[in-house]
Amino acid sequence: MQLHRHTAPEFKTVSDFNLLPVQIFELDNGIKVHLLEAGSQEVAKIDFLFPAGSIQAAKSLLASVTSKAMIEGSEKYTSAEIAEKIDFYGAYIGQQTVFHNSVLTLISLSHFLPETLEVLEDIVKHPTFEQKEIDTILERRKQEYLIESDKVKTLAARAFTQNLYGKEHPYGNFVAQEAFDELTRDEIVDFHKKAYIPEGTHIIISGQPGKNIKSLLNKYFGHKWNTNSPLPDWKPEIFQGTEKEVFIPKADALQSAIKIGRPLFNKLHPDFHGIQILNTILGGYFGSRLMTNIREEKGLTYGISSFIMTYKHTGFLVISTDVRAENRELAVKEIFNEIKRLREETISEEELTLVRNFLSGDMIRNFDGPFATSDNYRGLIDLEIEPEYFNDFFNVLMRITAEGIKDLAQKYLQEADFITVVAGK
Amino acid sequence: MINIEKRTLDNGLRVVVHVDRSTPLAAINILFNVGAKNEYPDKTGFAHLFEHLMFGGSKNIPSYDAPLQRVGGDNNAWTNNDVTNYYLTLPADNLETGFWLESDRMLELDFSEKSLEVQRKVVIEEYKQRYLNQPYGDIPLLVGPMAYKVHPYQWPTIGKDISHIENATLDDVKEFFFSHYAPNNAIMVVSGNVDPDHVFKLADKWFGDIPNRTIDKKTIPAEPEQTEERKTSVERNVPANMIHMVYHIGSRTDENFYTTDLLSDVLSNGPSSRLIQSLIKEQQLFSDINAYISGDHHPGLYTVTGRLLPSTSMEQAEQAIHNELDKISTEKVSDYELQKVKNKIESTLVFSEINFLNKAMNLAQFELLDKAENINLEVDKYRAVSAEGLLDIAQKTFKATNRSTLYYHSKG
Repeated sequence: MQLHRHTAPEFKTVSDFNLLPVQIFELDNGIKVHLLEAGSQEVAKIDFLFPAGSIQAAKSLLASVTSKAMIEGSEKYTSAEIAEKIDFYGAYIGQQTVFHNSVLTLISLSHFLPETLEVLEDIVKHPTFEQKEIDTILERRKQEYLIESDKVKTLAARAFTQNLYGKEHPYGNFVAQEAFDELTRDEIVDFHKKAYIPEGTHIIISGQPGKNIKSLLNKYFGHKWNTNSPLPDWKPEIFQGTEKEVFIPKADALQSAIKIGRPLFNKLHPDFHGIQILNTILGGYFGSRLMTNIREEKGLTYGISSFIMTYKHTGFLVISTDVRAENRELAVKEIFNEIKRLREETISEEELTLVRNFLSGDMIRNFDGPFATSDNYRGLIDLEIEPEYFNDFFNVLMRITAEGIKDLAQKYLQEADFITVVAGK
Repeated sequence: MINIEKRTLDNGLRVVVHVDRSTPLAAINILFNVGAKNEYPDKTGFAHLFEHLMFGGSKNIPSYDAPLQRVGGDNNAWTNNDVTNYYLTLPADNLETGFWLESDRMLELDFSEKSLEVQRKVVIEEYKQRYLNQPYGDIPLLVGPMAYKVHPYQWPTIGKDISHIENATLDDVKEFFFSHYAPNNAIMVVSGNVDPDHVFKLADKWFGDIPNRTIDKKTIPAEPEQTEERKTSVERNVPANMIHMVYHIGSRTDENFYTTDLLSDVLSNGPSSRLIQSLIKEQQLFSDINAYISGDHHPGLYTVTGRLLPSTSMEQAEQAIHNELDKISTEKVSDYELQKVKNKIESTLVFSEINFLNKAMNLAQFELLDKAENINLEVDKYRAVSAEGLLDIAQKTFKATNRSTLYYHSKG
């Protein structure tokens, strides 16, 4: 048999996209539960989304420290006992604070859910917030903050969002060093009482939690344990930074971190799906324009990417890379060249097809199984978007044209809208 | 239970298949039995540089990435002390594209001066980004040469000295390829929504005519037993002091591996573990602390590493760690505590069986070390660990003469 190694084998394109079905039900107290039941292992991941994000907290560190401190002692169990129990059942508890909610995650073997949920109930409803535990958390966080402040990448990222949204806006991500010394236990206790409440809380379950999951959740979380209404979802004026170029010197840096980006919009904007495709072409995959030019042709960096971040009320696009100081100007120039090419030249059918096929494969990867699907689904809750949204993206991906890409580039990739931040030398 | 089927082709390529019908995707994982330990002391960093060159086009296919992306695939690779591992995922219907691409780069690379020149620069930037321009990034560069005087584990995967990468020639690269990249020095695992017979047919078709090659089996010198305590102290521009201690232990295939692994879990797996409860929460000496083992194919290291709070002196920190290690070397771990770390391992193993790509990577490692089927014996091997065994290994491991300590001082 003669092998044709020069010729690619036949292949099929992905022609449809199937999302795992999401079952939605309510607990007795109205908490909305989203269930993605699938998978071959008897394992479940449960995310609790409390209306307790940094926006509701309206004070630096308050939301994230409250979330961390909750698992450090409750009425029934000391901090050490909580840790012992969760470890003994082979489970994990994770916390993540974002702008509009705080997420408490439990990953557990399904047959231990009655035990692990019982511990979680006491953590959520009756945390004791001992001063000593708060101090430990603040001291660790402060050190991590200082270590992060030593990285050019972090310095550039902070300056970027602060310049985009201002230091006053929570989206600006500004934390003053004094904030670590100013947070009090009273504020944490008060915030917990007002934000860890049934109203406005969502639960997302993925995996195989078992047939009795609804009654289990009702037993531990279905009562009206707190009748407060959610804190206002503060939507402040978005300040637009006026600095087009920001430089943060760091004398001992061996590389400079570059962030070049522009403000965008949230997921509801009609161009959102299209701009995700445009972003992929620019810097969203290994074969992207930026990777090809700046890494694979010029060897200026280990990596370069562009990325779209969305929040409930807005979003941004940012290009990030680390290069040595003498290559900085060339890298910035080439980044703007690639942006210009997208505005001025029509993308070839070959490249567009490649990106379309890559992204459709990527969608299958991103939604492969219940856990991956739930991570993506979680991003829709803030804006009450239906899961149909992902099918809409798939349809846009199948139909977008080279002209459509160019129109988007002309609309959103104008140099005048971009800011450039460099940290290092 | 992970079901597998496997075959060995005439040229020595071992092919392992695991069917997982819960995904529409497939993975191909190819592991080459070459890592940093197979390098010569004056040409370090080659295995990793090579990993980069494997994406620069092969004999008959000018670009590796684009044809894979065109069929909805994605890929990456990593290199460590022992192996270089390449993996891709794609819609299962397009499996053959993966075979086409992977077999051509196993057959022969398109050795080009241009690709070498670019990837040399990229790796140098990677070296800076990961090791030199990060707080604490140079710890691996400092610890290796202290713990290993003879064995090549003394240099990190990125290389001992960046000049070795800067000076790499195309002839060096070709020689490295033909003495390590060969079907008889590789394991291929295919997992996901695939049919084993179809996979074996594709393997024959695409890999069957790749010639086996003579592998450079240079003797790797064994590290002599350490007989004196070693210490190194450095001062860096970082916000907090760190202490980093390593002890010599056995290899991944050592009969005591499972006991040694649980010995690190007792100290630091999970929030209830000893180091976290005692040194972070009760004594409040550290802001972060960790204990782990390397799992290297040759005798490796047991590491204890911690970041100090500003109020803790280096002497206090060191003493506090020694106290915990003394305790575990003199008092038997309770039945409850042993059961707890075993439960944790069991659930970790269940979680690791969720993802088809993860399973492919793990199966390749097991096949290389002995046989892929052994993956299903892991739980029983951990269950068999006893409290007496932990005590015995702790006593043998945590001796001052078996220890190297790095004191990483903050300049501030």
